[in-house]
Amino acid sequence: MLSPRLALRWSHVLLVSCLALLFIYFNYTPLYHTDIWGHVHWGQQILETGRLPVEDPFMPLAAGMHEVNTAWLSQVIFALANRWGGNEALSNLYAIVLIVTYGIYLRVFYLQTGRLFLAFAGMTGVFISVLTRNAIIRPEIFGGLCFAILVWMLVSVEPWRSNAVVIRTMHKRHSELWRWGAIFALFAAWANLHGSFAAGLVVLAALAIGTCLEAMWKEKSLWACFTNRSALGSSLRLEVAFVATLCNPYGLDLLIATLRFGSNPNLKEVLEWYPLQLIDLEGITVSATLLLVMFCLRQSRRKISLAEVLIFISLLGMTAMRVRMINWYGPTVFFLLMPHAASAWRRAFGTRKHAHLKSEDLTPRHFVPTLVCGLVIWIAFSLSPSSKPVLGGETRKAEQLYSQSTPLGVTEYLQQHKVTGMIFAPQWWGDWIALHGPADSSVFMTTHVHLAPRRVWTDYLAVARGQATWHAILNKYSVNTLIVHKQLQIELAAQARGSGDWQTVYEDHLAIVFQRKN
Amino acid sequence: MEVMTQSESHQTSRFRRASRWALFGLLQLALLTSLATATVWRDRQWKEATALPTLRTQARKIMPRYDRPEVVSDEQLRTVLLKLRPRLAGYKPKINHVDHALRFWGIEAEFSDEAFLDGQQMRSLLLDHQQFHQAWGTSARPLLIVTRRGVEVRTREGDATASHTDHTLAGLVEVGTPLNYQVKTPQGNTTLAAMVRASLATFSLNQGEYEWSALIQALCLEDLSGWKTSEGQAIDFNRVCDRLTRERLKQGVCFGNHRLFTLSALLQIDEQEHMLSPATRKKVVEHLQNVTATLVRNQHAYGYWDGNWTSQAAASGEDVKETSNRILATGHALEWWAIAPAEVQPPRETLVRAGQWLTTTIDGLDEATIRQSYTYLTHAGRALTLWRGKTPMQAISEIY
Repeated sequence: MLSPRLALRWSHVLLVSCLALLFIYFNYTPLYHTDIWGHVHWGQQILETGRLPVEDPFMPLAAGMHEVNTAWLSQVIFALANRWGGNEALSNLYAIVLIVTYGIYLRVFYLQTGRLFLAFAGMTGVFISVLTRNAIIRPEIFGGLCFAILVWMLVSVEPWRSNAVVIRTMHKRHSELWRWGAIFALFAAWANLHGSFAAGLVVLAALAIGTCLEAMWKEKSLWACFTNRSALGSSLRLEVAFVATLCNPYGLDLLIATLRFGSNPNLKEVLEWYPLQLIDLEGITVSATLLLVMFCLRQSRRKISLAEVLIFISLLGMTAMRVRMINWYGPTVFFLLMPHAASAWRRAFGTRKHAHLKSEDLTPRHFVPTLVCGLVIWIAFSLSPSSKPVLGGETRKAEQLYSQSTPLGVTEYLQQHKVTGMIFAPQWWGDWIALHGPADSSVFMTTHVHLAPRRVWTDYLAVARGQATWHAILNKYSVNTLIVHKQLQIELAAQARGSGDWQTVYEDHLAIVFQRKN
Repeated sequence: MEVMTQSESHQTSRFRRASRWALFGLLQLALLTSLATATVWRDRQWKEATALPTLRTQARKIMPRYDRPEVVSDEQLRTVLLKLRPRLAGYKPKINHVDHALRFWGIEAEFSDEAFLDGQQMRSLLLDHQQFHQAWGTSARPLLIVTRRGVEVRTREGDATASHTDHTLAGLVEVGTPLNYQVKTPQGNTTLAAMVRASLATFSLNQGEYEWSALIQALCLEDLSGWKTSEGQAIDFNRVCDRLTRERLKQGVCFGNHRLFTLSALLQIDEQEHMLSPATRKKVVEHLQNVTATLVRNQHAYGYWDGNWTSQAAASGEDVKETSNRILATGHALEWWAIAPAEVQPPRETLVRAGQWLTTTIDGLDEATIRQSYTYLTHAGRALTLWRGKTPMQAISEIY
């Protein structure tokens, strides 16, 4: 006899179909041309040597710059996936991680609202808010997954538990020890996967401070932060998480390196480390979420806790300073918003009839929607490249697998002509060329710009922008091969074409390769 | 009695609970304090890692290795030295002439003719702001610039400034100025060590001119095993040698010759200090041997080289500008060979031809040409002196 819980509704079919489409979308998102290749390369290096590199092994000009590798475990995972199934496996991994992440958000928002529609809307809101980050496979996807898991853990603690429509009626299924173990395991893994564990610590810190202050205010006692169960739990949770982050090969250095990372002067010129600007896509997104927050809070009857305010302000502040933090701001704002959205919905449309009764008691049971869900899942799986290891089939062509900006033709040229020596290329191609280029060549700059000595980075920018000193700088570094992006480095291309010392040896729709004449 | 017992047990229970919370609170405080302290302490260690390395009080010295009268005889050397005395006394002496002359003549140089600056006078001009202002007037910007990193020498801003990064400082160190020597800046007195610290603090392995900076480091650092730049890059002299051998031979100022001098100096220091790995030493020796082979191949029949020394044989012709370039190229080549080990030396005839050509050419120069090409000539004069294993004052001691 099948469990009644397996009797899904047609609304579930709609939801599963949307998720299936999302899964297919992620599967067919091309592998980006930037830092993923550096991470794969580092992962390969770690697997081959059995050690973590202390400096960048693929950027000779960064020799001597000490590296604390905050994403070493992600790099190992990428390298293992690549070893197992080639670059297709990277794409599959990316799709699976992201769909699991969004699946978790969907679950969390359902626990909070009790309504599939709102949960789906919340999930869609998260997707849209981090759209610019979704396009790129990098260790951040594991950070995103960990953040989703953190949010899933937090939904069952105050102040969210009592506001979560579904969860507040559930019995606590897991023991306290399990919860503490889960937090510890999450942060221990997260600290080795990606530097965004610091964002997780910020959330927990804001939660701890908020609940402690509220408890102290409510009970009019400083001891309340110890005697109040919720406040004590939040504080201990933060401590457990912090101690867990020390479980990494670098110990305390990892945290220090992560905190110092954003202040690296080289990042000032990197787009994703710019402060938020309202005219940008991220700025528009943040503005839209702020309007949504204002609207929902206006309509909601739920109380707002101090912890929620602190979390919101912290993540908003981080995003304002560094636009890439939108990847954590987006899920956070919807997590905080969902109970209020549910309250606003109820105020606008009333509560469901017989809401105190479970839906299974009211609707007749049949399993057709369940079967249709299964069919949809199967179709999505079989249509996606993720099914190839199981179902077989041809691998995708390079033009489908890689982003359009991947310098495939350039790499082929470099390999065929066995180009040696230092190659100056746009830093976003540096990792790709280091991994796929000739063995006897090296690159001037990769996406690990934070590891480049300041002088090297400023020299790189001067050349990349085609400034007057470009030629002298290339002489200084004994660069004999210059690769220029045709659309993004028009000035440099013009300078190199007009120079008597450089000749064009290769050109396609994307790039030009110049070599020194003598 | 029972009521009192209940009250007492209630109070005891409250006391116990309060004690437990107090203990818990103290433990939390201890934990947070130790974590915060550990984080701050480790962060401070990170900062200290980029602290400047310790300096010696007296710098190491680069010594001449050879005494070869066939390259330049005693008489020839005296003739050259007399022509190249530093006629810099008077108003507005070019600072790059002064620092080149000091490096050539040394502190011990003394001349009876007041038209020539003594070694001490030249050093004062460079390290005493009052002396500089007397020579250049108050309208000239100070040569010595006091910054939060130390004292820097104004460079490449005209005749009242130095011409190469850290060349002035390198020259002062090479002639034996102790690091506790008093330096009088516009903002007050300090020591030569402050200038060395400024050089270290601003140093980047990939700065435009780094050859003289690297030489200063080799001469002044107490510990040559390595240090961290302000960029956070760990460097040692193996990495410095990689940098010095990276560029194309002719690249850089003075036809790339400063690098060759610094490499030769590092080889000499390494013989005492062993700061180069065997692989690096081998690489540097091979590099210099290749340079020697190139020079031997491209030497003009008369014995000189010119600006194309790396790619083709030196051209003929008697153009004055060409003469300057030839003096520059030939003087530099002889200068670094004079301190380089035997395994990178050219054949005897190469040295002799070069030495004889320099001697003859310098002897034939007029005063105007000497003044115009003085910096190049100091390298030539220094080279010839080194090839006799003497100082310039020792060489002309019977006259002075």
